[in-house]
Order: sequence, then C-alpha cells, then structure tokens
Amino acid sequence: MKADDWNTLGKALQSNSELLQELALSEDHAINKPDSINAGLGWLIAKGLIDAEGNQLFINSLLLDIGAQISIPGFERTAPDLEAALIKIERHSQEYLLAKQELAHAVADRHLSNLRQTVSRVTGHLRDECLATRAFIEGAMGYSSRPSETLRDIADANARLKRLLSKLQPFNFDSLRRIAQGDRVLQRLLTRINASSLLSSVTRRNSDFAALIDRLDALNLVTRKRNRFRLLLQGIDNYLLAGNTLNPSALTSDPANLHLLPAPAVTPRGFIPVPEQAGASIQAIESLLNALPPPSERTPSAPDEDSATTGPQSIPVGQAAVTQLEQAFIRPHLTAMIKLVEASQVPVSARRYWLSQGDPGIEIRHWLYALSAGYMQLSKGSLSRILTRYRLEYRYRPRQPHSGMRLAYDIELHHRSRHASR
Amino acid sequence: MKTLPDHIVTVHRLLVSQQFICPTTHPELFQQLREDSFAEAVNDFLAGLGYRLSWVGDDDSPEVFFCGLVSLDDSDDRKHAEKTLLDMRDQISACIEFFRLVDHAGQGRISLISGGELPFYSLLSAIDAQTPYIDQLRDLQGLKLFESTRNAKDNGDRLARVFKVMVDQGYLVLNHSESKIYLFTGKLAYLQRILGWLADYHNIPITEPEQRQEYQGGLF
Repeated sequence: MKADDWNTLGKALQSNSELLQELALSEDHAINKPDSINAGLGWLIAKGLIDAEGNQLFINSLLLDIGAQISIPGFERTAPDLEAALIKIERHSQEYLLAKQELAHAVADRHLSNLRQTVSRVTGHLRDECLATRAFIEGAMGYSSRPSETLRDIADANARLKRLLSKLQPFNFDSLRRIAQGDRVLQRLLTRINASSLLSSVTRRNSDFAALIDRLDALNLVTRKRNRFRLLLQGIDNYLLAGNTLNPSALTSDPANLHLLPAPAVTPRGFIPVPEQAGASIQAIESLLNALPPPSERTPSAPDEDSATTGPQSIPVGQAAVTQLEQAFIRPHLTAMIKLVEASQVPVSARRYWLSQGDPGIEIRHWLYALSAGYMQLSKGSLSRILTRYRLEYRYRPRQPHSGMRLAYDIELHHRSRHASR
Repeated sequence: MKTLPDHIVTVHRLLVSQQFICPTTHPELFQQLREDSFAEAVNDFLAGLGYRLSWVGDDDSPEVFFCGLVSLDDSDDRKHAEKTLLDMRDQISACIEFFRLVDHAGQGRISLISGGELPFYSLLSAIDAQTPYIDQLRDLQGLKLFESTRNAKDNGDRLARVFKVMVDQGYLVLNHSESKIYLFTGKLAYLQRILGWLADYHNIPITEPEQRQEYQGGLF
C-alpha cells in the first residue's frame, strides 16, 4: 500500500469519524444511509470497509478489528514481539556502552532512554497479560454462554500464557548479565534483584504466570464438571418429562456399584466385654444360658382326619398340660434385696449383696447384667405392683473417650419415695 | 487401654452416623482421608462393622467419602439402601428444578459442583429482577420437597426456606453467615454419581444441545 492510499484512508476515516463511531457501537445493527454521501464514505464503501445493503450501512469486521486493536487494552491486544525486544535491548545496551567509552554523554543518554523505553514496554506488557488473565478468571470468563466456547476461551488463555512463558526463557540472569557487561547503570536496569529491573519483573511474572496456568487448569476442570452436570440434569429431566420413571432400586442388583449404597447408621450396641480369660468367661455365659428354662414350644397337633367334613366338632376339654413356670433367676435375689431395703431404710448395692449372699459360682458382672435385664421384665410382669415403689440406680465407670458405651460397675436398689431426692 | 486420637474417633463417628465427609464440610478430615494409610485404617475399622470406606470422584481426586455397603446379605442394610434410593428418586425432580433455577438466575456464574459458592443475596436479586425466575421460584412450592415454602411472605422468605430444605438435605452448607454465602457439599457429587449411573442404566443420552439438534435434524 502506497503512502497516497494511506492518506486517502486517513482522510476518509477522518471525515466520517462520527458515523464510524455510531456504526462501531451498533455493531450488527444497521444504520440508515445518510442523505448526502461524502467522497470519503463513498470510497470506504467502494473498498468494502463499509457494507451497504439498500438504504442501510453495516461496518465491516476488518474495520471493527482495527478499532478494537486501537481501543481495547490488555488481553485482546497483540503482544509486542519479545524476541525483537531482546534484540533491541542488546543493541541499545551495546550502543550505550560504546558511547560511554567514547565519552559521548548525549548519545549514551539517548540510547539509555531508548533502552528504558523498551524495558518498560516489556514489563508493562507482562503486567497487562497478568492482570487481563486474572480478570478473565475472576470475571465471567468471557461473554460466551456456551460451555464449549468457554472451554475454548480457557484453553486459549492457557496456551497464550504457556507461549509467553516459553518466550520469557531467553530473559534469564545469564543472558541479561552478558548484555549488562558489568556496567552499573545497565545492571540496575536489567539484572539487579532488589530493584524494579527487567530480571526481577520477569522472575515475578514467571511465578505469577505459573500460578495463573494452574488456576486456568482448575477452571477448565470446574467448567467441564459443571457442564457435565448440567447436561446430565437436562437428560434426566427430558427423560422424566417424556413420562418415564427412574428406577434407582436397580442399583441394589448391580454388584459393581454396591459401594455407592450408603450404610445405615450404626448405633452403639451393648455387649459383655471379653477380658483376658475369655475362654472361662464364655463358658460361664454358656452355662448360664444352659441353665435358662427352655423356650416354650407348641407341638403342632396332627390335623384331624375329619376336618374336611363340616358339622359340629368335639373340642377336648382339660387336656392341656399345665406346667409350673420356672421362677426367674433374679426373682428370689430381688425379693431379698427389697427386704434389705425395707429393713435398713438405705439403698442396697447389688454388688455388695452378691458378695455377701450371692452364688459365688456366678460372676458379679453377670449378676448385674441379669438384674438389669430381669428387673424390666419383672416390673412389667409378676412383680409390677411391688416394683413401682423401687427403682434401680446405675453406677457407671467414667466414659471411654473413643466409645459411646458405658460400663456399669454397680446397681443400687432405691426406695422411690424415700430416696427420690438423692 | 490404648486410646485413639481424637480426629480418628471423629472420622469414625461421622462415618457410622451416615455423614458425608467432603472438603466443604470437614476440610481437615477430608485431607487426612486422602492419605492412603489413614484411609486404610478407617476402612479396617468399618470392615469390622461389615461396611467399607466409599468415595465418589476419580481415584486420584475423590470428592466425598462416606460409609458404604459391602454386600446386601443383611436385611437391615438392604432395607436402608432401598429406602435411601427411593427417597432420592422422589427428590430428583425437585432437585433438578432447584438446580435449574440456580443455573438460570446465576447466569452461568454459579458453579453447580461440590465446593461451588452459592451467594444468597445475589441469587435473590437476580430472581427479583426477572419475572420468569420469580415464577420458577414460586413453582418450587408445588413440589413435595419444598412444600414448607408454601406460605412464605415474599421471595426472600421463600428462597430462604428453599435453601433451608437444601441445607437439611445435606446439599448446601452455610459458609459465611453475615453475607449468607452457601457452599455446595460433596453430597452434590454423590447425587451426580447416582444420576450418572441412572442415565447409563436407562440409556439416557447426555449430549450438548447443538449436537442434539443435529441429531434431531436427521429425522426431518
């Protein structure tokens, strides 16, 4: 393109700046063609920079891109060529050192200010990239509503940062030190650690970019998961709307996924702790269980041969075997304890009672266990009237920190009315 | 007797009382469960009760831990599993409606994943600004899960009640009480896993809308 063409373009743009602003703002909406078309507008239409359809004007994407390039800062803007920037830095440094050797101070100052400009362009660009990526992550991740486009945007931003990181590789300490050649002014500008030098800026941005890449990777994962869940919800919803029903119970017949079924809550359950002499204890429990009365069983009587025939049936009377029910194991002991309470007017410890009057063949904890269980049955059954006047009070050992279970070491029989307040 | 450290006891207690352990609700315990030795010890404890340590998510990045079944031999276990699944089935439609409202009103800015933030007030103002979202919120009261929202005073009250239901169901947890920012818990990941299994089981197609249109285009 010749200088004349640029000139014509500039004039055309200049004479239609108001109209172009309106067109750029309205983007895909059309603008009515003005009554009088000036030469500049006619030239723009002829060159295809503005599309005319009938009486309406549209801005061409080419012109829109140029506008965006000029006016949109940061992320969308094209990056300065970092390779070229490094070459420029090297050249300016060499020329500065040469001029300094020749004591041409004015020339040296000019090269130094050029060098400073180049360095500040690079650091400014890195800062812009960093800020724009952060804004992209913390903002709404672009304006696309489609998840696939959002994913593409994230991948683009990620790739851009990775490219930038690889381009920053030549800006390392060795190469910059070689350029500075031990000159203090250049060192301060390029390699000094504790100053706003190019190297410290690059190092800082390097770690920033690495962190941003990690965040973009995480964002990518989150977007994928979210998208997957959204599609799943849509699919299930459509399935239900079509009148189908879901059958999650089928999961119980899928052995590969049994682990997905949650277990019911496990409540603390009581059990007799088994100490070191487990064998003997188990024998004691077994003997106690054997001593219990056998469960009452009803023997099925043979069906009457005449049951098929209708008519009056003779019912045998008085043939049922009446057997004496065996007395509950704790009943005599409980009665004895009640007598003791009545006689002494103080609560009676079941433990002490068993030591003094109990059966030495049965351990105390088994006796306590039997008393605790049997008391409830008796208080509902045959001794209900008497036992309403008494109550059992449990003495517990301190609670174990890892277990909800408490161990009773003694049970006291209290008279309800006299000791109720204790 | 040797006593166990407190955090192990806490993990045991949470798991056997049907709790889900995720980074949102129990961040420290979750991190410990990600360590193989700790997870094995917890699994051994649960194995003693006839259960196992289950999780949802990838093997290298689990999202939530819970106490799962090993077999269905025990009738109580089977009954409980079937009841849980049926309860879940009855709630799926209501949950879908709620998630759809959050997705629409949040305009894609709210992450519907475990650990995602759900700010009450910004969701409420988004709903208040658009009549369709207000209708969507009101429609929730027709669903059994959200029947407690029926006599709500206004949209704020109604949304607060909806949130309370989701908190009670274990899908949400209040992260910041003053600004009322809620977080989605690992139970959401669990629901997602179950829904994924159901989609596979019933052969429900899970495709992008644009792909679906192409697919439907072939029918005409």
